[in-house]
Amino acid sequence: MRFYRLLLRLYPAAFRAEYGDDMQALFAEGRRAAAGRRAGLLALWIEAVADVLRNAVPAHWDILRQDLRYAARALASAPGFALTVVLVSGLGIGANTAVFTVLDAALLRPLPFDRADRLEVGNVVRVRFDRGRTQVFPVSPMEVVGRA
Amino acid sequence: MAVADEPRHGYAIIQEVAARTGGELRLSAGTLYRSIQRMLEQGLLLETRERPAPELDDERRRYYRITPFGAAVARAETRRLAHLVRLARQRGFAPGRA
Repeated sequence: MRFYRLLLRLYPAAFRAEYGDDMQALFAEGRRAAAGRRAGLLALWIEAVADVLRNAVPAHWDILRQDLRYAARALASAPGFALTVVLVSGLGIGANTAVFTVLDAALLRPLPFDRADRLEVGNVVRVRFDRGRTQVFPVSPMEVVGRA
Repeated sequence: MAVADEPRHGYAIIQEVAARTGGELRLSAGTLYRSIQRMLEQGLLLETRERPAPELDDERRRYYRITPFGAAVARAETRRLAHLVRLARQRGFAPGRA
């Protein structure tokens, strides 16, 4: 019986709560009817496993369809609320997508060229000469390549 | 149809269907309770508090009976099927013919 209870866990919780005890009682009746006959018990178990496998997924689908129908009816009865929900959801999804797109391009995705880890930031060199004169020299790409 | 004449619990429905179809149709537990769930939602069946005499009853059992709407739907479905059978006969699909 414990294995049959485990099998019933494949059904949605709501369906199990409503009909699980009845189904166990039915299975127990079948077991009593097949008592003492090994072939009868084996057939009962095969039938029980096949039954659960055949019906558990449609039972999930039944509940999903019921929820979707309920949601559609609730939204249709309050169109203003429905529109607000759609707009707020749209804004939320849009903002998330925009932020992720920027983060993906700036931080996550590798730079579009080879050996990106050897990239250096170009800068300037400020040189102070003897007589207090200073001059700023850009660091050229050639110098960067030379140092790499 | 199995609950048309009197309220029945799950196991009794399975037995009734098997008896009426000469054992050709044996409902499994999953098929039965999914059908009951759907028919309760659609208002075709009703869980009833009418119970048999205590010596014949098991308090864990739940009994179902047909609703007036369920009976009307069954009548409409019977009419539809009868019409279909009539059409099939006219086309030469009577039992016994090829």
